[in-house]
Amino acid sequence: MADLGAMALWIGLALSAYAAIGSILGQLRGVPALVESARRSVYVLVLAMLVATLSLIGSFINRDFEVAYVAAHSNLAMPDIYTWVAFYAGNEGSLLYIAFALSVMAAIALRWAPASTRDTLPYTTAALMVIQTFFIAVMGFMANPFDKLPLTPPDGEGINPLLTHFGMFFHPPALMAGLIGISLPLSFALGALVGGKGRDEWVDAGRVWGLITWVLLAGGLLLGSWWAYTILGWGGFWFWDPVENAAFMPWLVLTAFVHSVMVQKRRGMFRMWNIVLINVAFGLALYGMFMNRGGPTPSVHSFGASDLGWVFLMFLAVGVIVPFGVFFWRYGLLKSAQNLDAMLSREAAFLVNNLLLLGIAFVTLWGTVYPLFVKLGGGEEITIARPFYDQVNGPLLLALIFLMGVGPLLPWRRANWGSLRRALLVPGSVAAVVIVILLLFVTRSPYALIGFGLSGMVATGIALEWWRGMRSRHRSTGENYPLALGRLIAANRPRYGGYIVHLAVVMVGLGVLGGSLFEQQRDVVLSPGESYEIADYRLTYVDTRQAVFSDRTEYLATLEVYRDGALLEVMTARRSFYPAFNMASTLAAIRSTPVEDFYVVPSENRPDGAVGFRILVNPLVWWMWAAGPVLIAGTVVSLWPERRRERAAAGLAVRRAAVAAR
Amino acid sequence: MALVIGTVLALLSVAVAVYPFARRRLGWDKADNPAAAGTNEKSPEPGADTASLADLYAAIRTLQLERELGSIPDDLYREQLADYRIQAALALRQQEQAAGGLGIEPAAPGDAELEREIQAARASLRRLDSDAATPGERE
Repeated sequence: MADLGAMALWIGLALSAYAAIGSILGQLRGVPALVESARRSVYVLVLAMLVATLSLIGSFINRDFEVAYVAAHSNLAMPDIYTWVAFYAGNEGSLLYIAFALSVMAAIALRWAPASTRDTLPYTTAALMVIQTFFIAVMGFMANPFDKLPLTPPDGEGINPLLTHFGMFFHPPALMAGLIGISLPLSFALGALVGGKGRDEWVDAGRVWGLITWVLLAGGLLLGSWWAYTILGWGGFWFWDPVENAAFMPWLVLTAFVHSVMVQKRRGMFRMWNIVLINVAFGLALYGMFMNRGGPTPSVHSFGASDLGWVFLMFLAVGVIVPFGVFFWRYGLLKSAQNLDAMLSREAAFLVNNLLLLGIAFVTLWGTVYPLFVKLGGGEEITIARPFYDQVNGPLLLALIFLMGVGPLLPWRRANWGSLRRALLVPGSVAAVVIVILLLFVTRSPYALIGFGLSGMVATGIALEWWRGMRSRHRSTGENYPLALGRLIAANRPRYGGYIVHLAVVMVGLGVLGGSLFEQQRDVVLSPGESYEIADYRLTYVDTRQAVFSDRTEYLATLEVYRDGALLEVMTARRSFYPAFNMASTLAAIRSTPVEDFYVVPSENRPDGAVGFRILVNPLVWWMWAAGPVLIAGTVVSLWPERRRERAAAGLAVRRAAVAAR
Repeated sequence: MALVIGTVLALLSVAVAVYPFARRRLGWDKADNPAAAGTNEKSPEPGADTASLADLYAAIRTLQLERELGSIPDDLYREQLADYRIQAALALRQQEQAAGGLGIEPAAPGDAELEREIQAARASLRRLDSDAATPGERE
């Protein structure tokens, strides 16, 4: 299997290099056959990468410890179900995953590219394949997942215990696909610019791939937070770790991009700005990969010591210089078709939204790189931690939520204060009521008051928009309310999909606010039969069972949770020790409800049978995890294409309405 | 076995890369359709900074929705609708000119709905042309 994988890798390298060079030469010299040949090579490249991927997975299934990567990331005790996780658990396998994911996305993007990009598609192909060639070349020459050991060991070292978690099936693949997926909108933009198309030719493809990448990153970040919450044993979901931040920053910039690209699509504005945004997002994605693969900061999220750091640092430099070089070269082509009609308009709201998102990304970048600068300057090693981000990013995030409430209520081009006041009356009143109730009964924390008030305003604004649209359609067509709502959404998918995504963001906001501002935490040591009270709960530690496996010893603590004297649940919290890794991993026992999480994690097992527990009551965290499916659903609605017949019908309806209005 | 599969993969890669050249050399692709190569095809391209019809339809639909939702007052609605209609007229005219210049039928025969749509668009274009000639006149 490993030999086949290695062959497929070299064939893939040849195909990607050929596709990159052939596209450019064919286009420059006017040889259509060469351009077509290069494009078709991209499709075969998918097959080559698939064969390489299946070969590595097959090696894991067979526990072929002759392959160094398999020996380093699996052992005989590893359950087969973790084969998929082991595949990308290390640098080499994750590079193969990235190359495979990029080949699939590139083939789909090129095969179904919009007609408006066809003239410049060879340049897009070349850009994508240069990136692809880099990844396969790094594997081939520096981090080959199919390298063999001189002697085959009887057993492997085993998978990193922290990766044996359900979230790991999706969190790393989603993040890695999201980070490399930014190459697609970037390549469409670069292709258009190099081909001398400076208007909006690339925007449809850029928007679609920008959204796909955005939701992959968003889902990956959420799953990563869930993984950290349940397995890392400290009770939180976001640590502002430099490598966490490295995935968060491109997502922030992409969020700005998927908003502002709508302005370009609708009004032909923000052309330069969108190119800058996608260039910055790509640069930050490459920075994330650098941090993750031999960057200067060790992290639970990175692949450990590696000598790939300088290669990715150089690629980062090239990945920033070349796109911005093309941008400056074609700067003259990027004049906007329209000017901003008014500051009170949806376009202006998008612009402010963009500035806020970039501000948050910059603050996060500064917090991430500042300790490195200090270290490089010979200073003491410092860490920028949560208080810095809370103080600086907190107000920016609240301003962003405010804008999320106001922006969708503004029409395109121009609004007036009267209509905005009317639109904000009910949502603003709800915000005021929420603040008063919280102030009277719950808290005086300004962050909490403003955050929950704004969340109420956004959710009410969205609900009102849905209600007004549904009622209007019901009145004009006679359709019943559910049908009217369904057809309203179907006829305005990007808008209503966006509303669904905004609701998901509000849900995440509730979880962050609740978990950050109202968390109660205690560290206690309990002997069997002892109890501890926190909030309304009483926790009784019953006993610990011990289970010995070939690679680990598990300590399973049985816990009873009571409220008002009544037994709510019997929970089991797990702590496992892996001698080969000299590492313990935990799995928290969590009683999760929409109101609050009751969270218990064992921190140590003492010889006398007592156990150290960390106990937390985390309000509203449930909403963060529930937001994931909502977020995906909203993105799917936004992306769902209109059928040709629907487009034609819509066009006819518009003309009829226009004629009737005359 | 690995060697056999690897060799097949390599041969397939070469065959796929060579196929477009062979097709032209052997005359399989008599029309030598440049569109198939993804190059030199004239993509639908309205003139300088004219929005596409699909985007204009979307903009008008959004405008109407905003009016129904009460987000936009009537005077701004009418002003913006008139502007979009002029842009639509320009885009239609350029699309027709481009289609005429290339000898392309604007819609597939038999697609009655699209054909009707185009007829309606042409009629709308003629009306808008007469509007543009008398800008102060209100209907």
